[in-house]
Formats: sequence, C-alpha cells, structure tokens
Amino acid sequence: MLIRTRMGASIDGYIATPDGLPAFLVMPGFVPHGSYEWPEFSKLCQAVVMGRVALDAGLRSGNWPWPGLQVYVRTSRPLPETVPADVMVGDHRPEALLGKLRIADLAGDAFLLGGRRTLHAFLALGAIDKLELLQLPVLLGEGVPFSLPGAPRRHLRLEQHRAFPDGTLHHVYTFATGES
Amino acid sequence: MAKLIYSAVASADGYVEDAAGSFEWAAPDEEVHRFVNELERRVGTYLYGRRMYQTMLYWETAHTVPGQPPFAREFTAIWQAAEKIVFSKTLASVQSARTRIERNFDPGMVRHLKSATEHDMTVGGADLAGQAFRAGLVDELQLFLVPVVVGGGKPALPNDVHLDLELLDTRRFASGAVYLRYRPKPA
Repeated sequence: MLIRTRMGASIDGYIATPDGLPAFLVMPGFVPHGSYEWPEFSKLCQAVVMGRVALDAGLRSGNWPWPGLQVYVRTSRPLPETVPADVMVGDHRPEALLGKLRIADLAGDAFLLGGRRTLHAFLALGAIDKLELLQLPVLLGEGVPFSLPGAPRRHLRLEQHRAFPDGTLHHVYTFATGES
Repeated sequence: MAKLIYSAVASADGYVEDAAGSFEWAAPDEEVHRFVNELERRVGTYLYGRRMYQTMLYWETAHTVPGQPPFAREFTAIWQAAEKIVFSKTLASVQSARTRIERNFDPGMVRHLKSATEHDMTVGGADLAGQAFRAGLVDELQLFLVPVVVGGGKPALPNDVHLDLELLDTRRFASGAVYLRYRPKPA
C-alpha cells in the first residue's frame, strides 16, 4: 500500500480560494472526479484519509464522494453511527491513524485527501509515499496556501512530469529520505 | 520591442526563501545554470528592487572569487554586461556598473523602455513584479520549480495578482527541477 496525496494548486501556491473553494474550480471545464485523469487515479485507491472538516463536508453534500473506499478520519469526536462506507476508522492521533491504516493491509493504495493539518501531520511522520501536484495555469493572488507555517522542509524526487492540454502541469514526487 | 519577463525560482510549495530566509536549497546545478545562462543572454536590462539588487550584487565581483566553474564565470559576464535599474526610495548609491536608481516604479517609464529596446528585460523580486503585473507590463513568467517543500517563507509570486496564464514551454532537468514558461492570457 502506498499513501498518495493529490492536490491542485495555482502557480502561486494556493490550493483554495479565500472562501475555501478548491483551486481546481477556477479552471474552465473542470469536472469534479473527472478531469486530470482522476478516474485513473481513484482506481488505484482503496482507502481515503481525511480530517473531520472534510468528512463532515462529504456527509453534508448528500452525494457521498468516496463510494467503495474505506475511510480513515483524523478526529477527536465520535464518528457518526451511520455512514455510507463499509469501513470507517477514526483517531485524533496521526500516528495511531497511520498505524490502523497500515494494519488494514489494503490491496490498493490510500488517498490522503487532507485538509492541510492532516496532510502536514502525515508529512511530518514521513508517511506520504507520493505527492501529486496539479499546477494550474493561474495566479490566484490570495487564498489558502499549500503549506502550513512551520511544516518541515522536505526534499523531493520528481518521478513524472507532464502537461495537460489546458496547460495544467502534473508533477508526481516521492519524498527523498535522509535529507532535510 | 522588448519583452518584460518575471523570472523566479520557487519551491514546490511556492516560496523563493524559506522561513529562515535561506535559499541555498534553490541553488542551480550545472545543467540548470547553463540553461539560465542561455536565457539571460537575451536580457538587456534588469529591473530590481533594493533587496534583490543587493543579493545580485554578488555577481559584480564574482569573477574575483577563486575556483568559479566556467558556467558561473559565464553568468558573471552576462550579468555585468546588462543594464540595471534599481527601484528604491532609500538606496543612496549603487555598487555596480551600468546601474541607476529610480525612486518610484513608473509604469510609463517601463513601457517606454520596452518600446525603445530590442533586448528583453526582466523584473526581479515578487514585490516589484507585482507592480509590473498590475500595470499590465509583464509579457512572460518564467519559473524554476525546485523539488523541495519548505513549509513557508517568502512567496515567489506576487500577492494580489489574479491572472489566467497560457503555458508556453516546460523543461525537466535531471535534478528534478522544472522550468515553466507562461504568458498572461488577454483579460
């Protein structure tokens, strides 16, 4: 099992607009769960990892965004009793959540959805195997940055690099070990 | 007519310096440096803010540093041959040849310079570039994306500039750095 994260960011490093809308949505013709080879990516994944805000947003949406996936939630509050997932695991400690994910022995990979605090907690644990950055051809000028202040510096290895027809660039990185 | 280019180095999370003010992680290797030299050879004038000018001043005397590799000596000569304009309200004097100070960023003056020269111009530093972007003066954005996340620091791109861009070119280097070239889309 690999832990993968995949995010869209503007060239100036914002993953969401100031009002919290994903940066992807500024791209003309963007189709949620359709564009930028999302279907191919999602076929690799058997689980999704997220913070509580993302879970609650998914539950409120009325259209469960992660059908067929096991769900791992970083949360200190009890999980809802009824959820549209066969397996849902919660823990407020990132290392414990990671342990439960590893024990699950998934045949597929795990998609680390976010939000930022969950993403950076896993980053600090050295638990992310692949970082997929979709760099959107736009300057947003403001918004929610990719980085959290104080997040550790990590060197990357570029595994893949390609351009989509709309000018979005797809960079796939792994994390270099033994460097800071 | 010259193009005005904003060229910057950025971490994968969008910073030109980390929170400690360090940018040693962005140092180009020989392959990237030689590529940069070819780009810079077309530049006739550099527009700098004070801080970027003071950083780049290293190249005014870099030829006196022992043991410089050939690609660094080549860049030194390219930098020294170009004109420099420093936009600063406080800088009293310059320490490099072919350099003058302007107290204010005057878009009309920059527009006139673009029309009066054939060699390209670059604007250095995100703050100064922001003024140039907002005035509609920037023709290209060139970005060297370094394979590192630094977790915060000084943004490589200006704040408060919203712009749709067209990807013109991209190149991947052995180090994992990527060169990206964009131009603004018409509003």
